[in-house]
Amino acid sequence: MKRFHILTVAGLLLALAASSALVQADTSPIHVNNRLRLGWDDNVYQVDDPSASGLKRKESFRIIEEIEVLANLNFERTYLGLRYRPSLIWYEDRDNKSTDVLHDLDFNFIHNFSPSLVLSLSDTLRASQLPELQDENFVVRQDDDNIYNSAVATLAYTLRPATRIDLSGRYILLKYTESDYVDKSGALVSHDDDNYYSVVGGLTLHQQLASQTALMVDGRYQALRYPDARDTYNRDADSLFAGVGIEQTFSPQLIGRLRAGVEHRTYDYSGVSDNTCPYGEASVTYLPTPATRITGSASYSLYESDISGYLSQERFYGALSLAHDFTAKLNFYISGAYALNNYEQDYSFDQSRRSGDEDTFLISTRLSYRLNRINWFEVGYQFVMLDSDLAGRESYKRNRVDVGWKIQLF
Amino acid sequence: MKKLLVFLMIGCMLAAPAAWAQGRQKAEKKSAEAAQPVTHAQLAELLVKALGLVRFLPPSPTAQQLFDILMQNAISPQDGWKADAVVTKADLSRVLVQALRKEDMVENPNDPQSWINLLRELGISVDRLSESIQAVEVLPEGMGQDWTMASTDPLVEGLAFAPSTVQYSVDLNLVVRILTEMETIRGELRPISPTPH
Repeated sequence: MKRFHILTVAGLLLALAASSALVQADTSPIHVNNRLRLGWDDNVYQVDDPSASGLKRKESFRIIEEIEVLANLNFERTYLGLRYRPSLIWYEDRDNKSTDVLHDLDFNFIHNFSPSLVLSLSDTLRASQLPELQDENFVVRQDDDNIYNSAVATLAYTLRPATRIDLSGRYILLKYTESDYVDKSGALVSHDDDNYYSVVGGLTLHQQLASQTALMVDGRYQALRYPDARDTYNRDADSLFAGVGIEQTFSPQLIGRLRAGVEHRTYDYSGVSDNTCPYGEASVTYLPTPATRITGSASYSLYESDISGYLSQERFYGALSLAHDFTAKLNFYISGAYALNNYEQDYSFDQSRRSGDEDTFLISTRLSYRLNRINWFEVGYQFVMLDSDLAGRESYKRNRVDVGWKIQLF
Repeated sequence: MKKLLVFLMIGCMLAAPAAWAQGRQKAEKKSAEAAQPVTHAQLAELLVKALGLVRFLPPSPTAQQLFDILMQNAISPQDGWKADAVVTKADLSRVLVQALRKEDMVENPNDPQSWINLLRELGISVDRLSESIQAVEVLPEGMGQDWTMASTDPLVEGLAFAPSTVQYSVDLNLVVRILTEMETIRGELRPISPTPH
C-alpha cells in the first residue's frame, strides 16, 4: 500500500503542478465530479447454511461515495491526461468491517517529437483496500488489499503517409499486501502464489490501404512470472504471438475491426507440454440513428488462469452495449458481457482436477437524467451470474440496484 | 589578406540570397503546412484529446479507433468519418456542436448551414481549427467500450472482469470494481465461500 500512496500523491502533485500552468487557458483543464449512490445488494457474500441445504446470502443496503478528478492538458506538441477516482463503499449490514476503499488512477501522456514520431505513455493503477470479513465463526474473506498496475509505452513512427510502425512495451504488476490466509479446508494458503508481473514487447505495422480500410501485422512476446509462488504452483510462462488485423469503415454508420493470429505458450512447470492456440477478436460500432449507438465485441484466446490450480484457460468473451438518448437530457445505457472459461485437466497442477467450464454473465443498465448543466440524477441496475461446474467453485447470482446523484463541481 | 576578404565578401554576397531564399522557402513551407487542409484523422485526434477520451483508447490508436470512440460518443460528420477525407466547414461545425452537446439547439439539422450558424451564435469561429477546438471541454459523460476486456493483445488486454475504467459509461467499471471485493483479482468471480475461523 505504501507504494500506492506514493504513486497517488505523486499523481496529485503532478495534477496540481500542471493545473497552475493552465490558469490562462480559456476552458478549465481540471474537472471534479462527485457521485453519491444509495443502493441495495442482494449478495454481498454467501456462506454455507448449516441449518438448511444450500447457501445463505448476506444482503445489505449500501452507500457509494466517489470523487473523480480529471485533468486534461493540451499543449502544442504534448498531451497529458490524468484521472484519479477514489471510492468509498459502505455496507449497512456487513459483519466485522463495513467499508471498502478503492482507488483508480489513469495517466496518459503523448508527445509529438515531430509529425512522424510520437511517444505515448499510459499507466493504469488500481488499488483495493479490502479488509477481512467474518460471518459468525467463519472468515468469509481474508485481507485482500492489493495493487494492480499496468504501464505501457509506445513509440510510433510514420514511415510514409499511409504506413506506420509501432514499437511497444508493457509492464504489469499484481501484488497482494497480505501474504497468507486459511482456505476452506483449513489449510494455510499463501497469497504469494498469486502475485505476478508480466513484461510484454511488441511491434506493429499499420498500412492504410484506402480511405476506409487499414491493415495491421503484429508480433508480440510476453513473459509472465509469479516470483513468490511455490514450485508446486509455478505458473511462469513465455508466449510468442503473431497476428494480422483489418479495420474497415463499412458505411458512415458502421465501422468494424478484426484481428486474429496464433499464440505459442511455453510453461516453466515441467508437468505440462507447450500450448499453441489461435486467437481472434472482433468489434463493431453501429449508429442506427443519431441518437442510438450500438457496440459489440467478441474474442477468443488463451488467458491467465482465474483459478490457481490451473496454468491457463481458454476464454471466449462477448459484449454488447447500447446507448440511446431519449432527449438531450434523458439518456439510457445498457451493457452486457458474457465469458466462457474453459479449463483443461492437461494444464492443471494436480491431475485429479478434471476439465470444466465456467460461464459468467454480467449485465448493467443505467438511466441518467440531466437536471441542469452540472447535476445528474441516475438509476442503475446490475446483475452478475457465475455458473461453474468445477470442483470447489460455487455458482452464484447477484443483483444490485441503486439511485444516484452526480454533480460536476468544476 | 585582402584577397581573402574579397573572396569572403563575394562568398557572403552569393550566399546571402541563397540563405534568404532558403529561409523564405522554409517560411513558405511552414505557412503552406499551416494552410494545408486538415484531414478527418487529424481532426479526430484533436477532438479525442480535447474531450478527454484518450483514456478510453489503447496507446497510439489508429485513425479508425479514434473514429470509433467519437462515434460511441455520438460525434460524427454527416457522411461519416473517412481517414484521408478533408475536413469541410460543414464537417467541423457539426462535430464541434456535437462535442459541445448542443445539437438540440440546431434549428434544421439537415441543413449544414444551421450548424455553422449555431456556432457563430455561440461566438465560436470555424475559420481556424486551432481556435475552434479550444471551445471544446472534457465530456462530463464520456464513454467507451472497454478495449481491455475483449482484447487478445497482451499489450492491451486487462484482467478478466477486473477493474476497468471504461464500459460504455454504464459503470460496469463500478460493477467489476466492486467484484474485486469477491476476490476477482485472484480471479474468482464469486462471493467467497466460508473458511474456518
